[in-house]
Amino acid sequence: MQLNEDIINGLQEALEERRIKGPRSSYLLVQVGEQKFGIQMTQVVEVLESRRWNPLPVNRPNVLGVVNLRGVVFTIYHLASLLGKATAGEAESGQGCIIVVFDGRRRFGLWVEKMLYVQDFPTNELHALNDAQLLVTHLCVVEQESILMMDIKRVA
Amino acid sequence: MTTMKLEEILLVVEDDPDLRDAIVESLQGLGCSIHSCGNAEDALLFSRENLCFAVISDYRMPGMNGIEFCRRLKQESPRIKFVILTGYADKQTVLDGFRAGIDDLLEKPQDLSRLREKAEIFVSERMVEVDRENEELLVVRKIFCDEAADILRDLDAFIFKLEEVPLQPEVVDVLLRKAHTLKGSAGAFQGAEKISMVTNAYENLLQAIKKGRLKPSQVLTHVLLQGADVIKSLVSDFEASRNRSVNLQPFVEALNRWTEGQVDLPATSEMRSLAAATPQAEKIDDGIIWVNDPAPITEAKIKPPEMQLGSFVQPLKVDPAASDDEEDGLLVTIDKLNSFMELSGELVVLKNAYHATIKQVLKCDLPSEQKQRLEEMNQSLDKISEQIQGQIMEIRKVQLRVAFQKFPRIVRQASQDLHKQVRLEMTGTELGVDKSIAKALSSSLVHAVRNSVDHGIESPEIRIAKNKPESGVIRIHSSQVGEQVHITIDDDGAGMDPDHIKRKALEKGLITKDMAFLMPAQEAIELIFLPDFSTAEKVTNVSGRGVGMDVVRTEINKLGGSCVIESTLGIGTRLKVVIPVPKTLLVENTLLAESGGHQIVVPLVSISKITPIKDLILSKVDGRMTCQHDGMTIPLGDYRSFIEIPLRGSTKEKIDFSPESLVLIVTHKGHSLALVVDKVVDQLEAVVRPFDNVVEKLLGFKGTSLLDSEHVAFVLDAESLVGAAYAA
Repeated sequence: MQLNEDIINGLQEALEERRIKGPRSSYLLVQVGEQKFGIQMTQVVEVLESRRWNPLPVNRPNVLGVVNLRGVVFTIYHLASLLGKATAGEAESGQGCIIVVFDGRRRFGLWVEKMLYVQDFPTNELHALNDAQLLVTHLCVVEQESILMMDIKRVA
Repeated sequence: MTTMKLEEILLVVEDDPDLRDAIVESLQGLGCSIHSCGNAEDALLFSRENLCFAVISDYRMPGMNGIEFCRRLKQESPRIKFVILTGYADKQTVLDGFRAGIDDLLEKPQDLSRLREKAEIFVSERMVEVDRENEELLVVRKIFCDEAADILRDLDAFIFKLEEVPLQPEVVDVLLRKAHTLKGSAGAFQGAEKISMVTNAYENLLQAIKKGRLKPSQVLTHVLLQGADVIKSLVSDFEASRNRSVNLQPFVEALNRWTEGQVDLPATSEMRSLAAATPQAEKIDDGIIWVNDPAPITEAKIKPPEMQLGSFVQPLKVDPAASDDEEDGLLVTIDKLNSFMELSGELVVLKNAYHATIKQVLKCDLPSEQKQRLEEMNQSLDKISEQIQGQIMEIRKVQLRVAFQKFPRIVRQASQDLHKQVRLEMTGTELGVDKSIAKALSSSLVHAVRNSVDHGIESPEIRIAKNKPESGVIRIHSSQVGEQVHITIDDDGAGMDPDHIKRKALEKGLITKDMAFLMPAQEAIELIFLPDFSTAEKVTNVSGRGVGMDVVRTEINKLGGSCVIESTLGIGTRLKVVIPVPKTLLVENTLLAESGGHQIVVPLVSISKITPIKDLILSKVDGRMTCQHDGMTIPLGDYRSFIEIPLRGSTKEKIDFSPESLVLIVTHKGHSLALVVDKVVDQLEAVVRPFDNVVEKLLGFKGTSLLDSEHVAFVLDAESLVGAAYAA
């Protein structure tokens, strides 16, 4: 007797669903200007909203200052400034969000004006951009919109 | 597809050779190895001897069918993914298959691209699993390495104890327990087989000593020390995941021959024969040969073992005569201790914030009883905070025995190399000092000890000719006097000749003839602390490079201490080291000030005077603002003016200060500057935290200090600020 197609189809559907749920990566999306950027969720520690920072006594490019988070003092970068889309002077302490990240070596914060949401992306739809200098490493196109994925390890 | 390589195998089982080849071909480039078998029996055998992570198998095959194969394979390796390819099957077969543990069933003839997709998923999933497994393995390895460091920490001390008191069975027992524990733990780890193998031979040698077949002697001590070195190196390699191939078999055989009493050669000869027997290799320390795998060695030298395993852990009770079982303390890693110290820092920060709040609250109209209660609580918090700081300093203490534990080996090795007889006596090593002091003493005084052996103690022939005992003595005595640690290193050697030192200093251009003529003897002797100074005629393994005593003084000065050398020609030399005992490492008494909208913290120890700016006579010298202080003209400005204006005469230097501004006279190593601040806010017990990686080079500042849960002040670094002011 030939294999019962209903059984096969049922099993294969279940298995296909399992396959689709396979390798995916979660990103926290933020808006910088008109562009959406993604930060890998595995690198995000927490998000601080409307948090004031302590400015450095000496100016440093792209650095807004430091914050104290439960006894740990760390540096806050201006993400738009890092991406060359603004200058650090445009950020206003106490506004926007500080995304606290950990790059495997150190903890620091990225200040953004607007945080969006968390979204899963199939890893095979992330296209690598071959420029080792850039903060942006991958591109993903979702419903004709391009989202740029960052590797925070490349923050200086 | 992924560029990572999975070091595991995907197994294809298919009896039709053409289809088998086609499947294998379609699976190329997945990032894993593919292996194929023509029947289930061969595949089972293969999977037992190789690391397979997934199987793609035909259903109908001669002999064992795919489902039976799956059942048997999953009994042995339940985590292997299993896909069945089948042309025909009934409902029962499908259900049997899933009951047997298959992960998927694909129809045959199968579109091979779908099969490849399936395999890609398996590879990706397995890679994620492997990453997780590796992380778990790292944690377990770390535990093992910590334990091993613990075990090996005072191994040398016990080996020396064995030589000193040969009939004390407890000492052999301790060594045996250490070796046995290490062997047992290492046996549980893939990649630690070498440790297990050598430790096993080492344990056998110790058993022979315990049973009286071998008598402790100087030569046997040397063999035990060599063995300890090898084990330490292997543990160090394992910890660093260094995959070097090393031919340990001859060494293990040498240990075995010692165990059987067949060897009467000195250990060094035995070891050196190993060096000669291994091509491409350098002699390493005591003759153990390491060869990088697989390329020829490029980094053959390994550090002396005593440098590899420092005192990462702190013994709360260190008594070489006591057995491990008797230890009534805990071993606390320095990391945990530092975390504890940082937590106590949080308490100080909280206390500071509480003080500030109470100050405000007490200004309010409250019943006097409540005010009194608040003040009492304030004082209690002060006391508790101070006590905790004190207790932490106590916990951080390490006995000098631990810091000096490598000295006996160094003296032994140096005296052997120089054909001298030297005895080392250490007293007062039970004295506890802070971990940071112990570390600095350990690394710096080693130079002084080596110098004593090399330059101080004479050869046996000379000593006999001088009517001295054949064997020289180096005595290290440690004690605490008030708030200071005193350490003296005495030798009964030749002493120093001030005229000889002057001649050497002249030759090296360190002093002029006039200086040499006028220089008193004591000052001449202290020339040995100068960088590059050495009286040695040639550089040896022991000393003579002219860096040793310079290092000693530099390190001791860093701790706020001093060192003095006294020497009598023909009688001997004494190095006296005095180090202040810090009350706390964490809290610094500071002044909190405001400057240009920033809150800055200035260590009180750097401030020699505070004065209103209107009381100073200001002037401009060479385009820079200055003022008079104690008859000297010193630079004046706010912190930015010292660190942000690199050029003299810049127009930016004209700064209008408010008459209400205050000036802090900041002094470092005799140089002062006048730091203008807008106002002084308060005194502050600051917990100074170094900057993170981003702003670690913020000139003029050394870190941050928390004021409360939100505000952070920047702690001024007098050294770099004064340096910048005078460099500009």
